[in-house]
Amino acid sequence: MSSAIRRRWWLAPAALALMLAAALLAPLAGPEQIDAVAAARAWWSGADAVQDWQVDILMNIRLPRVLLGLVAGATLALVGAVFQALLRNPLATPYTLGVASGGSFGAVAAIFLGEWAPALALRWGPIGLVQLMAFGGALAAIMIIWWLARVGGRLSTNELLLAGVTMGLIFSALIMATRYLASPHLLRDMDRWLMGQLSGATWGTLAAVALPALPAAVVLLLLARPLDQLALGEELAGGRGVDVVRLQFWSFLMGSLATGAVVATVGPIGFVGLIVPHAVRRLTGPGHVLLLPVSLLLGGVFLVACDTVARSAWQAVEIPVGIITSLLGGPFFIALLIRGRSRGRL
Amino acid sequence: MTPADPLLLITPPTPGPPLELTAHGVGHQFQSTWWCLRGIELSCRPGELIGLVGPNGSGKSTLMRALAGQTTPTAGEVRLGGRPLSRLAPRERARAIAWLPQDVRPAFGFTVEEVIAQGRYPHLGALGVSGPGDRELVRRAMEWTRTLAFARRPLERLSGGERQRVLLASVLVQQGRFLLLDEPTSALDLHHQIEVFEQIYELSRAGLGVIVITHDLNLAARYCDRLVLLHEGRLVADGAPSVVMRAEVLRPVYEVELLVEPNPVTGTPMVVPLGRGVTGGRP
Repeated sequence: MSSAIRRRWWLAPAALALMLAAALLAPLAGPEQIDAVAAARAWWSGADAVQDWQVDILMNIRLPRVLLGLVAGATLALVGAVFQALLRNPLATPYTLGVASGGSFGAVAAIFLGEWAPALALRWGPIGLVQLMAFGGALAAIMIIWWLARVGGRLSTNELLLAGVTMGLIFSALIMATRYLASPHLLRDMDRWLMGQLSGATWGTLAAVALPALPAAVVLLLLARPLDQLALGEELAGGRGVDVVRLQFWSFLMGSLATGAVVATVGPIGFVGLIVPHAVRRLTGPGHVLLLPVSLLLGGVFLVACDTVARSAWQAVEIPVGIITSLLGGPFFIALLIRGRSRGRL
Repeated sequence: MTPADPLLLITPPTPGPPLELTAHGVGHQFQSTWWCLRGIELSCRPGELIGLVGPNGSGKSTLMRALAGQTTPTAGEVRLGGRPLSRLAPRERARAIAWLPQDVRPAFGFTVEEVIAQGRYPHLGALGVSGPGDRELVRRAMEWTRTLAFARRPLERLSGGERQRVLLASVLVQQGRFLLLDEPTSALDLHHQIEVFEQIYELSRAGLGVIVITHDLNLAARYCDRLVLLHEGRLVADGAPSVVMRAEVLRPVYEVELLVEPNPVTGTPMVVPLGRGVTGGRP
């Protein structure tokens, strides 16, 4: 009987502890061996990055990267859980509604344009043309899909899903067209971007993701109870006093904006937003009051763990983290499925 | 264990004249050319059990959605105690009117207990934290609907009869003065159909205004105080079962030959459909 797996409230503090551990331990891993005690002592005595190379690596390279991984993974897992509830579809991900494909097209187009019009290749702190156009592409996708789904007055889950998938296909075709026209040396840049990576993170890029993602996450966490109501259908939820249209609007908008910010900065890192909510649901049960925060925390941990593997498993080469999330996450998830089936759970 | 008193589930009536749920000239169109409801006048008082009957596509569910405040009718309006439903906040409306739609599909493995507790939603604060009073009410509802035994099972693992009892409990804890049920017996066997009707009869005697959509005219005639017959979006009969359950009323609506006789045991009117022609299409 499945009652044993339900309402494990201790999971929330446990996930928080795991996240803190990831934030503290992951920066110590990497190709360059770091003596944590010596670095901490140097930092404590006032040494800055110029004086101490260990402090430099920790504070300017690894820590922003680990924190960016935490924020990105947390956002993707949270939005994945929210979209699965919103669309009543366990296969939904933050990318199902076209945000990632819109963002990807924006980025690929920016890389393409950057060669033809170098004057455009400006940078404003952490934000360059690629990030700007990626976020713009994501926003465009959000607006088109919202408009499509609203045709006929009331938003329908099926139309939202179909509109998202269709827009994804259209943007994929546009990406292919851009790649076809681009000169070959740009293709490598485009591919790298489409794989998703956390390298090159700075405090600035961290801020560019966290500033939109954190407020959106707060709004989404507050929607946990109404999202529970959607599980038995929009009609029953409406009859119980949930303003279904408003709920759909806010969860779609906040989820898409946060996803857009993540995708614009780190690229469309796959799998986190699908696998983490599913794995967490097996631990917490379906109630969103526990599912959402635990997904958020463990999503961050999962992405940081994958990134730590990506940058330290092969000493000389760094692997894009998007490859690792799928290669590590896929088999793990299949194992979960098989174990669940043998226990007679869904 | 003594049988739980359904009165314990029901909020005490507010002082003053009893609230009525009324439809005033309600009409609705899905497309600009087609009215699926026209000029419906209807009232439901607390303590009344109304059977909403009519052929498929006659507008029963649309009318019920309008009565639940889930559809804003194209024409006319629905009022609760004289106040238009459209002026009520969703939660305020949900505290007065509980609606069980026909199409409830469970997802994500919520347990019976969780599904029923979620019915308290319109009574909870912004953070949705339930107190001891809410939990006590949920326990009483489970006792009365005899769903305690499978409280921890996911809803999708129940039989049709068990699931219907759970859904009834989940709308009961909403503590509305009015209960709107859209074909609660459609997927149930004879035993469970009668069980549902006995339960909603008991609830109506305890003071709830209940409107139930059903295709089973005989059960409706047996338990309901009033039958409301819809045909092609219009209200064609509204009255006691003995008034509505007459062959000359039902024949043109259902387009079948039928016989209405008193039930030999209970004396309530009973329909015996014969067929589409006088001979019933069979030799």
